[in-house]
Amino acid sequence: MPDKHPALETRDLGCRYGTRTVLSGVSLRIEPGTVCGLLGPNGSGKTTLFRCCLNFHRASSGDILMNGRSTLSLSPARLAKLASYVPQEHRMAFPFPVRDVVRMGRSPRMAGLFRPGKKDEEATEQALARVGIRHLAEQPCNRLSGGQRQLTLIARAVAQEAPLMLLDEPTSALDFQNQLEVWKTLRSLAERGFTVVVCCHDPNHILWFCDQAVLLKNGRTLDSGAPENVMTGAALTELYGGACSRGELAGGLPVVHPAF
Amino acid sequence: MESLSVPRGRRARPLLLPLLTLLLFVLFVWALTAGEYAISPPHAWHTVWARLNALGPDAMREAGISRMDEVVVWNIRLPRLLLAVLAGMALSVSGAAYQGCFRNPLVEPYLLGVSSGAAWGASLSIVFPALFPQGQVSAFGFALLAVLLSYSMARRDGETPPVALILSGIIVGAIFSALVSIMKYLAADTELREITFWMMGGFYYATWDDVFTNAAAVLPCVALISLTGWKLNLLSLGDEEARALGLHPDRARLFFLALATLAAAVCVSTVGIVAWVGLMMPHAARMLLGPDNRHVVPGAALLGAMYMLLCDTIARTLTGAEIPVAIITSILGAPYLLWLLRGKGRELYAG
Repeated sequence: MPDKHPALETRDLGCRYGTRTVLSGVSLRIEPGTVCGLLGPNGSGKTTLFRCCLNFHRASSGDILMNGRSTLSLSPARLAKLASYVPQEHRMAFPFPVRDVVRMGRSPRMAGLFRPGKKDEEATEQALARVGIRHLAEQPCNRLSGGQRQLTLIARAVAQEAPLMLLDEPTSALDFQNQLEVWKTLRSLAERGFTVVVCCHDPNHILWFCDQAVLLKNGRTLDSGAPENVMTGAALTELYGGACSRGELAGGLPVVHPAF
Repeated sequence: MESLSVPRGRRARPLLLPLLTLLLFVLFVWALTAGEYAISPPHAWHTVWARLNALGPDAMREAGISRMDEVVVWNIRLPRLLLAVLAGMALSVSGAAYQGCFRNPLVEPYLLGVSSGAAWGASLSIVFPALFPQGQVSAFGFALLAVLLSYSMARRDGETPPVALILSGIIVGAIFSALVSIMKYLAADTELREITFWMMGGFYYATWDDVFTNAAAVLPCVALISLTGWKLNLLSLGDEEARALGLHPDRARLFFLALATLAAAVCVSTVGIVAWVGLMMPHAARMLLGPDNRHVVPGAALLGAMYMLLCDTIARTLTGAEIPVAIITSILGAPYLLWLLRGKGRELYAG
């Protein structure tokens, strides 16, 4: 056995909704402390892969391991200590203030009657500061902008202190400045030791901000590895049917642009 | 690592809870003395105290407490007020729990069909006492059936849109109301009278036995929901987020639904259908205390108790005759829902 396990590993993972096969034979390894982007067209199985990893949906075959341990049969309480989830930015039914939302991230670490203690309050403040939204702490979350709400949800995952963080299209509803803000935050979290897995629709974001790219199509992994290496013109043609191709900006920055 | 202090300013809000408790006490004393038979607060207290110390009739007469004082305060008003307090707590706490469970700030026991389900269960035991010997038990069973029906009818693709849940609640409520009407049609004269009066909703026939059964069901439910308010917060984020934060959403929802329905059903089977309290009071609690259910639930319990006491006191003192209390809560409550749906209130539920 190697000393260091991957933060997230799937082995030959398969998943079905009724009779429809959504994932089959998905095997991937994500190293700790890295940012990994899942790329694929709509219906490629990215979201299903996430849902399986978080036990929202039952895998029909294969195994999922976090830090070397199978998680398929873990209770929600135990899984929540290993992996946190940042949903797509959405409205909440009740206008909790930002600090309350972030404090909820402490739930898996609270014992007994689910009451936050002093340690939880401190971790909440730390998480607010790390994501840079301490000034918003008292704001009800329905008064925030989309970007601020997304940062709040990220701060909640930070407060949860689970080593693995799964984000479902964290930038899809944001303007460009907020998108960059979110990615900068995710990079800094990876430097702090979190393993960040992001479901993403923008290939450029993966090229620019991720250490690893996983390409999915029709429920199978096409390729996995360093974004510059796997996101070749051929792979992009395979994914998006020739709508775009790889290029390079003047400064040497790789870029995916429309195929004119 | 930088050290960050936890701000202290926000501790002020929970201080409101002792204040509300005090207010409830003041209101209770006022309600005890309000009514046709005039009695001063100290004398009313004196009477209660004498009974609590189990003084005999002779000792009470010696202490200046007449037989009339004793009957009015101890046998009529005190159980009635205590029952109003318990019913107000039960309805508004169950409203708060339903709202958290269904992520829907617009639901309450009446709108979900729970009250009608409980009414059907209770009327079954009035008309067929041999088949349904325990009114409260059958009320609870059918109330639980009603809420599960409303919920499963409104749920589609893992989502429960707020207005769809209200509509399915109205449908379920209509079905159970129709079933209650069938019971009325089948009932003999004395049973019909019993069903009709009890359905109108009110506290006129409150007895100490009612107080004890309701307290035994309602107080543990209110305490448990208050203590687990944090889980209700998580549940109100939606099933997937709750699960990702370590909560088993289906188990937690069943826990809250069972407690909320038990409290509401026992209360309905004693005092009849009293609508809207479960909608208004949790909202008032959120306005005062913020959305955290650890404070909202006890706050809603206290406000619900006060509101019900106030409505009942109005009901029995406004005119010479009694007005059923449900009429007063509906006159005040229905416009409130309209305000929530159409007016500034939308902000309260982030709609």
